[in-house]
Amino acid sequence: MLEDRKSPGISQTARSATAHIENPGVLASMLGIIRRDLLLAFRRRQDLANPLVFFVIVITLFPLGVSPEKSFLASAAAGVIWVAALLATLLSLDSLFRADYEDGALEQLLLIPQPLFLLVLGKVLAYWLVTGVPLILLSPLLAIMLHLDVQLLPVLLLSLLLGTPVLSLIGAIGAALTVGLRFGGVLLSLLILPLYIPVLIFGTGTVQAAANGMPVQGSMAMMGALLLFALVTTPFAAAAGLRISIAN
Amino acid sequence: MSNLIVGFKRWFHQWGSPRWFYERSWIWSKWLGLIALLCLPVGIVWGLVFAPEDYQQGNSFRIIYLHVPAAVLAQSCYMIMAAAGLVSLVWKMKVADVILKCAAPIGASFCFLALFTGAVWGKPTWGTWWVWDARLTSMLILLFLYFGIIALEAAIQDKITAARAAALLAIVGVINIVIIKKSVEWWNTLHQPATFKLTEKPAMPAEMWMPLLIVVIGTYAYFGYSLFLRSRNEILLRERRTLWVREIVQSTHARSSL
Amino acid sequence: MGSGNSPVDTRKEFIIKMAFSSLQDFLAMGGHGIYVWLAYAAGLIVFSYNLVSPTLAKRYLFRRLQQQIRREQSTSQTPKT
Repeated sequence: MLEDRKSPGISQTARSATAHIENPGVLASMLGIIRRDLLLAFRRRQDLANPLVFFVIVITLFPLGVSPEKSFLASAAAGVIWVAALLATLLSLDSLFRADYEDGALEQLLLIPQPLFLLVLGKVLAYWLVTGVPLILLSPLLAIMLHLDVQLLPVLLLSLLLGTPVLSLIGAIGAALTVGLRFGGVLLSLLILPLYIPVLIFGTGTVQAAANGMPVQGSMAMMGALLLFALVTTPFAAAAGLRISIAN
Repeated sequence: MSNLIVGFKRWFHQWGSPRWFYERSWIWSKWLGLIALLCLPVGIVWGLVFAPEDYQQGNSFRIIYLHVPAAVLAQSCYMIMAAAGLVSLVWKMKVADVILKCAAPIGASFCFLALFTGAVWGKPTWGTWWVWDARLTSMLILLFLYFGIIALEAAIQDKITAARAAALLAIVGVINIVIIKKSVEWWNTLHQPATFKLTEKPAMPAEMWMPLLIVVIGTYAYFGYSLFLRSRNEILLRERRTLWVREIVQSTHARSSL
Repeated sequence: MGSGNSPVDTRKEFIIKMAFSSLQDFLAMGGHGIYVWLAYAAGLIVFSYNLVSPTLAKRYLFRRLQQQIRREQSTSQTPKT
């Protein structure tokens, strides 16, 4: 996929026959990136568990540090799960581009003809599949441990489903800007957390609204709108960030 | 007509010259300094001493003469930074880089002032030092955005890369400010801290809002003045290898700054 | 600056007079003195900071650049061996 397109000495027919491999279409290259990142992630299976374990531990900190009373936990459950998911996503964001940056693959990605924003989108999608989805799958169990009202569970899951991709997308911008820095991790958190706040508010607010018996369509629509907006804008910003970081 | 366009383009691209900016900004800053020197004392004294006492809040409302200008400036400054960031990324102007970098600490300090005066105002008015209402919370998040830009700019060694990265972050932040505002307002209605809502007062009499307007104008002028102070320093620093800077530094009549 | 003659005139006059009768009253601010003066102290600090900081920076910058120029000139004058 990253091979040189110019192959002097090969006949015209041979060139056209292999053209679809040497000139992959835009979608094909995006899928290729996703496949590659997923493959790399699964080769280091032990690292996949880290965000998950972090997620669980942070959640257990609240009953331990504040109060294990059912009344408190039930009212705080949605917020605690959301904050923990947010922090878990933030924790592993630094690795989104760093591995590629360190072995030079990132520079190659900037050079290939396919639009960078699509490749970034592919990487973020793979990242979300590996970190976000396991969080979502684990959250019902943790919600029950926090005594969350079972009726609120679907709303919570939907809010996480719509929200965690947005967290990954926005995080990609921060990761792109800090990829060249040695200790970019904490700076990344500082840059991204203010941008996360609306997502957090809408995510937990939706569950809160459902808990108060109010209709959730409005806030769910808002989350959907945020997701669409993020899908359309953040890849460009992250791509620009990558070009800025790699420019030197 | 084409002469007009050519003229505009030439004027626009003059801004790209740090030397042109440095030389022109001297007179601009003097004018702005004068306006600030006139408006700020007049406005503040008027507000502190002459404006009538508020029927509801008594004399603590006089904090408004600091809180509102600071808040307005904190938000405008961020907009200016985002605009400078856009110019920096699109036209690669050095002057825009400098303005973005130099405006950040000013904006952040005024954002902090807005928060501090807001909190201090809150104590006699609502009984608590801090309240999570939409406006204060949004301003707190704005302060975090400022810190982010300052930190990012400081962390990257290469000046050009640092400027571009800060520019991108400022633009991303400005887009988010609208979203943040709306979400915090919605969040506020959701949790309904009814006792702490800032009640809608009847329209302020002229004796109250006129000094406020004067202080706001003075604060903007002051912002421009202090921004020019910092930018001129930054330009001298960045262009220190050029002949014109060396001449300025060596001249024995190096003009005093204020 | 008188008010109008119409029967239902709610327009107030534009009055400029001091809101406090004595210096003690002014400092006390009707019991809210500490809050008002705390806020204005912070304001003074922020406004001063944004003037003092660049001024000091300029002095430091000029001194540093002048030293650097002097150093470069002296090294260019030493005969090369």
